[in-house]
Amino acid sequence: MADLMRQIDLPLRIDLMEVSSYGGTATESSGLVRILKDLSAPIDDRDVLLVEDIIDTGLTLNYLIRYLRGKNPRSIKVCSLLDKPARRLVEIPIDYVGFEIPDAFVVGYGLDFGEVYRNLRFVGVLRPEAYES
Amino acid sequence: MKHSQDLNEDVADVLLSEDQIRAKVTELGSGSAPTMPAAS
Repeated sequence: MADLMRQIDLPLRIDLMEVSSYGGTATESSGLVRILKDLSAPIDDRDVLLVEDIIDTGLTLNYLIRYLRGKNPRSIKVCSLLDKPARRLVEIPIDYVGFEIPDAFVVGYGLDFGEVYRNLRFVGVLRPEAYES
Repeated sequence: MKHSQDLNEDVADVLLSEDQIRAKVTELGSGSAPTMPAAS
């Protein structure tokens, strides 16, 4: 996110949401979403770029887009560093994609498993024994 | 708490290097990366 915002030569504001899916498992999303932190400022009549680290099933993102549309922005576009299309359960228009990746459990460069691995300087495939134990 | 060496050992393969990611983020931010049209 910090890397991306430094490359965008437009006046912009950054806001953060924290969401958590629940009802699934440690590695599988259920699509049920709990908002742990909402936006700090209104977005009505704003052009919104929703930035994700990874999109797999699309369930959480689908919920978020609907939620944000309820706040009356002028537009919403979606940008994701990683896209895992093999896992998609709902069709979502993704406007900007960094990399399409295979169906593997990836960590690093901000992506975590159990809040660990975010600080790896690369995106890597986690060994199954690291998340199955 | 695991240290960085232990974290690296949990990774089977490096999928994207830091250089690859930074180059792509620069493309995305400048608007020069390919985009997907929004579904109608």
